[in-house]
Amino acid sequence: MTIFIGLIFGTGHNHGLICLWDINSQDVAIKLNSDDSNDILKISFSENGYYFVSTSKNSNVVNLWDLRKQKIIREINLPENSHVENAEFDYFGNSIGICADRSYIYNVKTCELVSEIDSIQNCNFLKFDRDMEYFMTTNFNGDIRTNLIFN
Amino acid sequence: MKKETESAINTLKFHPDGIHNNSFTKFLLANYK
Repeated sequence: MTIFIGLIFGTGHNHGLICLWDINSQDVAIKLNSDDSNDILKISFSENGYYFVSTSKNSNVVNLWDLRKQKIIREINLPENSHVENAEFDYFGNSIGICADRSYIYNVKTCELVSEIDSIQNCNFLKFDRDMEYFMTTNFNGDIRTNLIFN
Repeated sequence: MKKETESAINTLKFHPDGIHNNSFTKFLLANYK
């Protein structure tokens, strides 16, 4: 049956390996390797599907990939002692929210910091609302916060 | 699914294009395999 044509998913592995799987063929379609060879913690696709971000264990860097070129096109460097936990695109693909010692919002095109929110404990999840007015964060304490994007 | 590697899988995410039935992932699979 070919009802799953075009349906793919990505997996992040140890040693910087990222696999894109074709559900129809039940096999890996594309393999990508992150330059730093650290274990991949999280990946997140942009809504238009052209880009994705990856985060690595014990790293302060978020890699922005272009799937059409199948390579890293930008690196977002957080302060040196930061350990990135998670990263998510907004619904328009304009911003990337990053969870680390605090939460950060970066512009995708310029990779400039847009907003930075303090956290009592390391932030571990972040989600944007569809109108780009706020984003929700959680931390390892179990706290849930609503943050305005432009504070 | 075939097992790709002995290394652990730390995360899994669906690509949004396939869910929305758009054409980019079809193009990707046809041209970049």
